[in-house]
Amino acid sequence: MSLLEVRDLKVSYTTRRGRIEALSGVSLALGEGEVVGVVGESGSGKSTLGQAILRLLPRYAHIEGGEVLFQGRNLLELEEDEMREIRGREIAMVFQDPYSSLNPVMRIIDHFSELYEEHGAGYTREEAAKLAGDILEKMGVPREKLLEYPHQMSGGQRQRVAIALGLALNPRLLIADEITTALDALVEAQIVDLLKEVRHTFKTSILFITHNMGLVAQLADKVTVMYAGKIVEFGNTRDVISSPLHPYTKALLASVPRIGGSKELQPIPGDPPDMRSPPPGCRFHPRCPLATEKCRSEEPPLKLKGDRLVACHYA
Amino acid sequence: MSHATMHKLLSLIDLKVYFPVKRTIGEVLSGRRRFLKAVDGVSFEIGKGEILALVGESGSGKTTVARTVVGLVKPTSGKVLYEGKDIFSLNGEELRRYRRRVQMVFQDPAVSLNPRLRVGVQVKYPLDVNNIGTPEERKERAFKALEAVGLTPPEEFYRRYPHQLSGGQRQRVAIARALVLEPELLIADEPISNIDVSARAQVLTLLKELRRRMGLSMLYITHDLSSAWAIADRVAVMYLGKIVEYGTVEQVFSEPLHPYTRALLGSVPSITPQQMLAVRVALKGEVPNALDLPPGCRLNPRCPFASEACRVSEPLLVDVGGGHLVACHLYSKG
Repeated sequence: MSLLEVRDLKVSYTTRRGRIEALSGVSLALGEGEVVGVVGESGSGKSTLGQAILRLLPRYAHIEGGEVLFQGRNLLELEEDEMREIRGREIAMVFQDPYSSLNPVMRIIDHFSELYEEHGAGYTREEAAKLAGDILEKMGVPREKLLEYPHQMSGGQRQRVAIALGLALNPRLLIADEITTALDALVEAQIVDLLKEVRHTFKTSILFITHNMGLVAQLADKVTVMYAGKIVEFGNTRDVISSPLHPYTKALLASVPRIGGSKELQPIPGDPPDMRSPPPGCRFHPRCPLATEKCRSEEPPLKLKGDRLVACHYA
Repeated sequence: MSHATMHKLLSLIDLKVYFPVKRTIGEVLSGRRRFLKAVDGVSFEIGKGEILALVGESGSGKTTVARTVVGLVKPTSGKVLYEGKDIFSLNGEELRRYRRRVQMVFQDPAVSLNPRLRVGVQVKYPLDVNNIGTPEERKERAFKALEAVGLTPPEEFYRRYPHQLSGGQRQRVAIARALVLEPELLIADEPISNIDVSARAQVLTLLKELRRRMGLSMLYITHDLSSAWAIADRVAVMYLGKIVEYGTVEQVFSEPLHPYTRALLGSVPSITPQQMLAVRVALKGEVPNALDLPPGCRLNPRCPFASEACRVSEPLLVDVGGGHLVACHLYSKG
């Protein structure tokens, strides 16, 4: 059984300028100990997916349908206090900006104490400090930093602390939403190395949300490519990267410059759709070089092709 | 000045930009002053139609270099020469002319564009300020600039507001605004880092096309090495206010010499994992506080190859052959 299974999830936002369908029927499975990458551009729905799993969506969002099965339980049907038990203990989330999980007026140690207390761990101050120090050290942050405030640390260290907090209660699943995007190149590489270590030492499953296919290649066993609120391709990372089936995946991979590769870039024509009125049929058709009449009128279902899922009439 | 620099469009000569740091009471009493050495002796040249990529992490000083070139920041010492003339000695009409010839594009079009003004008004604005042409001519030139960046039909985009555009389109508006004065040199500070992945290749391709069509020279500032590879002729790698390596993109990317350049290249998350491990040099820790620079080579506390020499003397930028410059004791003999 999968650790996490998302089935036909639909989420919309009500904004002043109209209703936006952020997720239009997204399905995804993540096995025990697996790292699954979710790749997409802004507006693809990848962050909405992460937030919906933990029911951390903003108030103007509505879950319109679908299921989020975690170890067989549908998280969408749980009471709020049951959900609070799940967050942190079973599923933790780390964000792009570590300040979303760190309080600027609290020392690092207090973040851990609060977390332990909230989940009724019942540790003494000394025990809490010892455990928090241990996990910080595993994340490459010296124990002494426990007494510091977030602003006294570098961006990379703050993100390490945020990951340490995420792992503090030893969750089964870690959702990492663009956690290296705000970091410098070298620090980004260090955090990726850290996540590789985490999956081995903690056996944590990771849902790794990013816009960077290169990071997915480094880290993820499987990858889901999202476009305009839908999954267009899903499969083993190596296969998807070496032989992408969906035209969007192909175009995305070809548009990214590679050092040592061709300097003639192949940009994807056009722009992502306005999600208030997504195009009919296949949502990629206005930008797709292969689009036909069928693509303009008929929505391609996500079909199994070998051990890959693809949503394209012509894949 | 040598003859070689005479026909270069832009030359930076030993540019230093130090920012004074707010003093503590102790420092006020003792009369001491501390400076943040944002740029500490940077020299490079950009020829006509050339694209130089200035690569570095945040805090390396690359943006300060850009701001100095457009005259937004005054250098502590050193010179910025445009066609051999010190831009900080220009005034009156000469200065206005320089400002027309050098234009800048910023990182975030959501910030650099005014949300309340129509796109056309903003693209046309530099012409209004400089009092160029009749109102009809200005509008015509704004249309042309919009067309040049691929926002067609221009009449349609002229009327829109920034929020009605995608991130990539907004950045193209910012580029159109920079182009409307028909500059010779474009300073592009991280122009693709805040836009969507699929729009990045569009903007890079556009910048290359502008160079081809208009002979535009460019200072392209980025932390993204892959984009520097795709767009630039030459690349300068900066670390803590200094250039540590300089050369053609082929020289620097296929034969990186400085441990910092090698670490940076190794950190690029490549699509094929093996490639990454091959060149990777692991640096220790993170960039130190720029107010408290280590003595000797600035990289020495983090560098796996650091020796005694690196801790005492600062390596000079020397030519290791064919115009490939490196500032590292590993390559300087004696």
